[in-house]
Amino acid sequence: MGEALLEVRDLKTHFHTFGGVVKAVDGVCFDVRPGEVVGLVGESGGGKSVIGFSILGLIDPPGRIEAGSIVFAGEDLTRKSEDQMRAVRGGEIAMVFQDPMTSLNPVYTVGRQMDEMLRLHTDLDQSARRARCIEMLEDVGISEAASRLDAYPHQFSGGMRQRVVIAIALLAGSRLIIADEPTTALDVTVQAQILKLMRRQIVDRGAAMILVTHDLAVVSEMADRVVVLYCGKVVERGLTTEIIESPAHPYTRGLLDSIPKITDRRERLSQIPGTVPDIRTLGHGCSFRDRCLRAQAICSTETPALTPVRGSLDAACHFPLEETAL
Amino acid sequence: MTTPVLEVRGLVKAFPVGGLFDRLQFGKGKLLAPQKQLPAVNGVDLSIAPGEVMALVGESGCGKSTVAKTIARIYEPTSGEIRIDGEDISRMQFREMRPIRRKLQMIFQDPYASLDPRQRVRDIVMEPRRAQAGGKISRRELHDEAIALLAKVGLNAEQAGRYPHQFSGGQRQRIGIARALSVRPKIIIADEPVSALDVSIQAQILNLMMDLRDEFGLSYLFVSHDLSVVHHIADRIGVMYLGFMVETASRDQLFSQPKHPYTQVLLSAAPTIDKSLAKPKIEIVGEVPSALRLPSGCCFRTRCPMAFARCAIERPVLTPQPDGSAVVGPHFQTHVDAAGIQRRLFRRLQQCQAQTHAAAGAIHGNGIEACQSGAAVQDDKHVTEQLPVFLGNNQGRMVAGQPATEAAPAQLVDGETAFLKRGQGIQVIRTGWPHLERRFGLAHDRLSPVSARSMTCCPRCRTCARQPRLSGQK
Repeated sequence: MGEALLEVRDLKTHFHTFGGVVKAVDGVCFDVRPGEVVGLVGESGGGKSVIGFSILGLIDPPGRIEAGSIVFAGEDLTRKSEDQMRAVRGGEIAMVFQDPMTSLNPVYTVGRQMDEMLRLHTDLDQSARRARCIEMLEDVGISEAASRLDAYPHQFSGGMRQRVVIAIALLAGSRLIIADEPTTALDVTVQAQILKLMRRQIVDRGAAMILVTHDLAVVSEMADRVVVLYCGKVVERGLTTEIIESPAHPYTRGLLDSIPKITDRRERLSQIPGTVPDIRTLGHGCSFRDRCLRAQAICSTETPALTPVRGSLDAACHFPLEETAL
Repeated sequence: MTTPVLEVRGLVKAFPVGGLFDRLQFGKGKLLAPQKQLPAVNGVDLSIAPGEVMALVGESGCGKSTVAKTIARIYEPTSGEIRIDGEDISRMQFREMRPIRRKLQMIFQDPYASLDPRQRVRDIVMEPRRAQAGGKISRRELHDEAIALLAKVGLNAEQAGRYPHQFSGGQRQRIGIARALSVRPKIIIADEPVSALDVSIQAQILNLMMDLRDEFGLSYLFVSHDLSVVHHIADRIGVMYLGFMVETASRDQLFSQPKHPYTQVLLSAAPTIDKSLAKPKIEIVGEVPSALRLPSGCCFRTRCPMAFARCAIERPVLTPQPDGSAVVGPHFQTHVDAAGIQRRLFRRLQQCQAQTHAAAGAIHGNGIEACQSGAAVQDDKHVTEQLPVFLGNNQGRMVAGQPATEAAPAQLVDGETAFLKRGQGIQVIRTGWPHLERRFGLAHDRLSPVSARSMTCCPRCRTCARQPRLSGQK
């Protein structure tokens, strides 16, 4: 198992809006070990992106980290000052954002944006930095890297830009990469290329990755472990293979079943009834209870805690699902 | 045979692009500004029978949404026929279109942008109906119909008086569906109706669309980029690439036996949660070329793992297959042969290397990057300083071609064939054929890249830093 690289304990990130307190992340716990890919999955509003921003200390008012700790390599990031965090961002922990169109600065060349990373986080001289940038661009599969360094982001296609963003994230030798929906804006053939690249470049370097996505199929191909989020809480976590084969939480089951599968004959898709509740008005009890077929009286009075169910699976459910026979 | 609800023949849609300053140029001493065209749809044929669901799939920019919007006459077709119930609507005036819109309605992708934020839901839903009735319908009737329709899509009467911002994405898409249904159309064009929705909501909307189809006998033209969604809803599927229809087939045929290389790539690239049917990934590099610079010949050849010389010369056309599907062919059979040629050449190269110790080729896991011509190797006297070879295309894969001799050089297309010196792997020497030297810039000892497409370098060649590296080397 080994030592955890990142330990998130009871993280609460709340947004204080005029309409009430939005508990976007409400008591989330998970670990990331070196060299592994952890998938954060959930529907929109699940709080998965906010976790990524919380780790990097990028929560702006009205949002605030209310409680909990984020321990990275033995140090609690929530206690660090803004200056100290600036050294962490891009250095020890790097982020790949969803939209490659907006995460690069359009008025600087790609080379300058890559160079900035090395200038801030290493003490290489200029020619060494340039050589390193060229090498990194080649590693992410960009041809004619030397001349491409002087190009502007608009001269790249979407997939190429995402490669550049990944190259920037990898440059300073970060130990943890947070990838927030890295392939959602890309076409499926390009997505396959990028996922393969991330797997090879990140994992083979021994770095860890948090993959934030709504797409269970991507997670099942990429992640070693999965954390399923619903309304800001972890509803289930465990090894990817076990969760995909036989989830313990009804929400995970519902999510898996509502993906149309190419093996089925056409029948009705099983759907999760209702919609995600308004996160501001959640009271006590399980937040999934209104959409859950197994819900009983206790579900609306007591909030279920995350408890081990079987194998590697922990689920927050009063009535977890049995293992499905294969 | 019944008349198709929708029949499209040779649909072409090109958009004028470029501002005045982009287009300005001098010619014959005058300042000219020729109009540039972006061909978004290049001659698409399709037909949909009553009650049938036809899906268009493809990546962004392939023209699938443009086809949908041109059929709905949101865009004016550049040329081609669009027949609704046998009636050609492609040249109709706005006024003539009004009765047609009773048969043809549309559902849009973005449930946030496609509803007027200042109209109440019951007014949104009844707007097409009111426009069709032309004032011959009472408010009472409109109200009752609105309530009935909303009930059909799973919304209650109390919600009819609300505004769109009070609804979630899934509910808004239900409103959009109710609006399309209000005039009882025969066909609904749905442009990515579920791609903006979460997966659990997506399932609800897909189920609703299927129920409504059964209840009203609707046909759908369903545009989506998501193969698993398409598999769930479609009877027939058309795959588009760069404005061309490359394959049409029934759902089962397409998923079990995809014929066009692009369809195969698309199917293998889609991530799946079902490990049992995870196909070996067909690797493909590069991205969709710009429609402003369509490749010559086959639209997919620049990324196709099977492309060979002929693909760059002829543009293949959609031809019916024996099993009722249609694939872009006539190259299709030869595509298969190309793979065979590739295997044979691979073996040949291995034999050559064993016999002559000539390392004129580089072999990668994916195939051959450079390989000697079989003919030249067999005849040892023929092997002088120059060996005609086949080189890989820009994906690090072999581009099959004919063996070249000095008398009859191989047909050279886009710099994919060049000449290697025996035993030196990557060094390119003078060929003695001036037209080739000019074309590929072979005047130097090393092949210098003329364009990004003429990539011929070997993985070991770290000296030529400016040369693009082929993929699949790692």
